[in-house]
Amino acid sequence: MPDLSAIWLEGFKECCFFVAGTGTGETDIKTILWIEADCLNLEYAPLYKRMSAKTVSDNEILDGLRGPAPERATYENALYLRYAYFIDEGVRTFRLTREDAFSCYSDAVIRVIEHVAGNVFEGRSSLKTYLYQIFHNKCVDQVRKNTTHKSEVHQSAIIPEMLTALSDTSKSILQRLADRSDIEDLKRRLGELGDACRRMLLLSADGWTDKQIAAEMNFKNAGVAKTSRLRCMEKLRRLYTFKSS
Amino acid sequence: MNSLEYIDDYFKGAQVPEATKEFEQKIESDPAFAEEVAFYLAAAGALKQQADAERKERFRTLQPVTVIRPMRRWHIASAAAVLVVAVSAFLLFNGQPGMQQLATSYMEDELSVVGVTMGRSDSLQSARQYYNEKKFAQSLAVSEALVLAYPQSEDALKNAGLSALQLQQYDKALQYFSRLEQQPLRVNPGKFYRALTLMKRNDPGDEDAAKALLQQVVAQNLDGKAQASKWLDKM
Repeated sequence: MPDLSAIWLEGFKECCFFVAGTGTGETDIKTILWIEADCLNLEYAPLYKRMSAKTVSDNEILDGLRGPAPERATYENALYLRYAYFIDEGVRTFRLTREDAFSCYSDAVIRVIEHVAGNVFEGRSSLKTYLYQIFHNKCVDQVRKNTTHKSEVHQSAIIPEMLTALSDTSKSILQRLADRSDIEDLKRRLGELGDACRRMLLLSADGWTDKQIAAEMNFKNAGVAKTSRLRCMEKLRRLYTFKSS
Repeated sequence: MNSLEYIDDYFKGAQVPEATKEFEQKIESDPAFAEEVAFYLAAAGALKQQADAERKERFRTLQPVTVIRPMRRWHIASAAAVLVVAVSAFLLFNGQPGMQQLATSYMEDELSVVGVTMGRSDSLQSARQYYNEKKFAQSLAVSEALVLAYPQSEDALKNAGLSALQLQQYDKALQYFSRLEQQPLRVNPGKFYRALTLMKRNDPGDEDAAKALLQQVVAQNLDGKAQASKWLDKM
């Protein structure tokens, strides 16, 4: 049984009665669970997460992934659960360990989420086929890595999509500077920022607007959230220095 | 406006050509500014990696209720062939009804519907209604939610166990009936239902285990005693 906080349990009990009190004899299971999940912080509704895979269609998942950032986690979980049996296939077909297969599958799901949210996925194939193709490639890469014992090729710190509008000259300058950045050190510095700053910056990285961050973290308005977020960035900047070239 | 705010506005904005041109000129002519932009981009990259790592850990905590695995056609054909052979052999060589058949008949006669309290509409009634409409998956989901909220509820445990049994999720059914058995009830069907589940599952060792439980039901005068006696006579 999942470990539930007392607060979640109390909220869940209230929700059950709330739903019951509205005469839900004809309400289907999906509606019941959506209503109940709405009453609670969705992060703490394990039953809802488990049921999502059975009751949410591919089109609903796609719509959800393209929707507002605060609601995306539900659909991300639904996508993960819907095809989680790929992990078994990774173990069986590619002879990966369960952990490696889980890692390949999770990475594939994350990649699909990015592609759907960024309109890279055009719907020419089914969601399942698209996900499986990415998962398959990741398994092949993992097998290759396991076989050759080579460590991963150094990946650029920069997210390529952020540079698409800039000229080649600007891109070269920025790439040269970014190559001197120490990603692991940056991540460590993130941990030194404090919980509120860290959370704000992570939400922003996840596509949350300042308005959504303001609502989530109880700021007065989007302007205040933006100012706080930039102060956190400045704090991170002060903590971090580029490596010398 | 300081550099960081200007850089943030550029990347979070529409990046129109005029703004991009001005931005590029600053990068190419001002090394300190270029370094600020590089930091902003590196930080964005690190934050994304961190967010993805946390997302991955969140996925790790998700456990599917059942692994929905599509069968290949030849799997289905093979399973069907094996089933036909097994049923034929059973009918050919068995005169007496087996334990599993006894369990199946009992479930059809006695457990195809569960009582619904008229005039009430709550989650338990919803679960029972789903059960009576043979929507066992929905019945199980609602019952499990109730068990989470009320771990000692006899009705929730019983409904969850019966729904799982109908879905042939025997391990789950056995867990719920075991928990039901531990409740301090005047009339407790938990042990009887556990025996029924073992009879229905009929794995190696289940027959002996079911017999032992049925004998306990009779000896301890528990709910289901009359039926348990009849079955023990046939076994």
